[in-house]
Amino acid sequence: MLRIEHLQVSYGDIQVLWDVSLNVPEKAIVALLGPNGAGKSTTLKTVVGMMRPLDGKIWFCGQDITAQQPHQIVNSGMYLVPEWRGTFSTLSVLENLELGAFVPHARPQKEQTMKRVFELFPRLHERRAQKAGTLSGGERQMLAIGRALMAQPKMLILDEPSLGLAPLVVQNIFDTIQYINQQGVTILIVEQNIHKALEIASYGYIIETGAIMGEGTSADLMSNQRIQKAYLGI
Amino acid sequence: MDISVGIVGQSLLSAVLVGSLYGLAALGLSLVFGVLKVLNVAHGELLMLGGYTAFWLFNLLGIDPYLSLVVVIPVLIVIGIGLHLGLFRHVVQFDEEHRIKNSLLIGFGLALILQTIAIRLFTADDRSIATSYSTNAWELLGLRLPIVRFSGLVIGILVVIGLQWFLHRTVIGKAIRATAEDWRTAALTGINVQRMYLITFALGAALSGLAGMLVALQFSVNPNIGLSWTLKALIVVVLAGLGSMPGTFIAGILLALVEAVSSLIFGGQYRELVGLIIFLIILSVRPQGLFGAKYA
Repeated sequence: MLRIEHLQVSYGDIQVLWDVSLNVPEKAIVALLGPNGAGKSTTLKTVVGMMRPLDGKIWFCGQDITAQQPHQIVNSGMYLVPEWRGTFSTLSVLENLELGAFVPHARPQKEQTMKRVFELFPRLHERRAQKAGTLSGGERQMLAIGRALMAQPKMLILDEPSLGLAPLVVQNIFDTIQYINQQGVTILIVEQNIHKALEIASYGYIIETGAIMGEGTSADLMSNQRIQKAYLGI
Repeated sequence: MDISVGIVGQSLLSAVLVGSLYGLAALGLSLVFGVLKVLNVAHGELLMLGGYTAFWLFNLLGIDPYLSLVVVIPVLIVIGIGLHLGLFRHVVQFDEEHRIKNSLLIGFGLALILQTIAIRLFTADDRSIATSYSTNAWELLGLRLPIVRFSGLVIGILVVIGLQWFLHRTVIGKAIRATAEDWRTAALTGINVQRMYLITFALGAALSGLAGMLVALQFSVNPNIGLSWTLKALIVVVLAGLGSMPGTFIAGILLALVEAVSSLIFGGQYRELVGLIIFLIILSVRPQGLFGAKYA
């Protein structure tokens, strides 16, 4: 569904991604893993059109989206929940969700989708009239995912969904991600919490200092000694 | 004693009416600054062009100034779209900090160009729209209420209500507020940020055109009025803080009231100075402005 081919990206003179290629098949959960500063967020920014690559191609649903604007990419069915959560703190929870359905293809079913989001996150229903800025970290992540669902994406990209959340909330968020995937949404998840991510993903890529250093099924990666040593603390 | 109460009442009433023009002039500037993070210092020149458009429609074609708004506003929208696509579209590619610096340079240049063009085309004479009802006034509790001035207050309130409705009840309005808060997240939501900037800039130009008509009707226009209106609007915007349309309008009236009270107490020559001192005091106590949200 998403194919990244030989991506080269730089900030000014400093190149930060070197020949990054990865593939996310339809209906799969794929994890992009690696330490802080490895280039995970840069990869995502480039995929959604917030940064332009020096070289390389990005294909989504058979279309070349390398040169597209962010809003065009969202319109074609890919949705990124960024590391900074991506909610509007001066808008109410309800307005945040409404804007999630801003893309034309999601607008007609806005009411039904919102009902489903409230079923998934009853907390958001309780807080619907509140400004998003007053929510707790976990609630804000729920709102960010709820907003993404409002857009009825074919593919959901989550950047560090566990960042800064209590373990219980993290479990809840990961269960939800798995549930969303079972509804037919393809998922690319970027995580520092490698163990958690590999539990729900079927395939993973390891990125270090801007290059893909390894890839494999989750089982392979979990049993790989080097990865165990470097990331899983085993 | 009776006389002085009358004078005080009359000058406070006049201040409210003048202040609604300050508020109207500031609404467009506040909207553009708040959403695009671009400070258009040629805002007053757009107001001047709106005033001239209404003046010529009245003088050459005899079109009533209120009716002429159906032409003035579209003309300013077209000018606004042209300026945005030609100039400010390039500025909003930068980070917020660079947007302000670059927009100041472009705005000053633009202001000079528009002034010069206006002098060439219209001469430097003062022009005002003198309708048959321009001098009509109502008597209210012994105070004089000139109807064209009163209309500014009414129009101002209607515009604020309209803007509130647009920004809080329509999808495009909500998308504009979202863009103002965080354009990156807005883009990731599927909002065409550049389109929102264009709509907002055009709306800002339309508002300055409306204010320009009222200035030409209540006072007068000449090619050089732009700067003083930009400064007035800027003070009101900083005083009010960003993000609240009713707050901006009310701050306009407050500024005029402060100026009026100070000129009653200290004499007319100090009105601008006292206004600015009050402005500095309020800012040192509430840096986010009277009605602005506190930014983290």
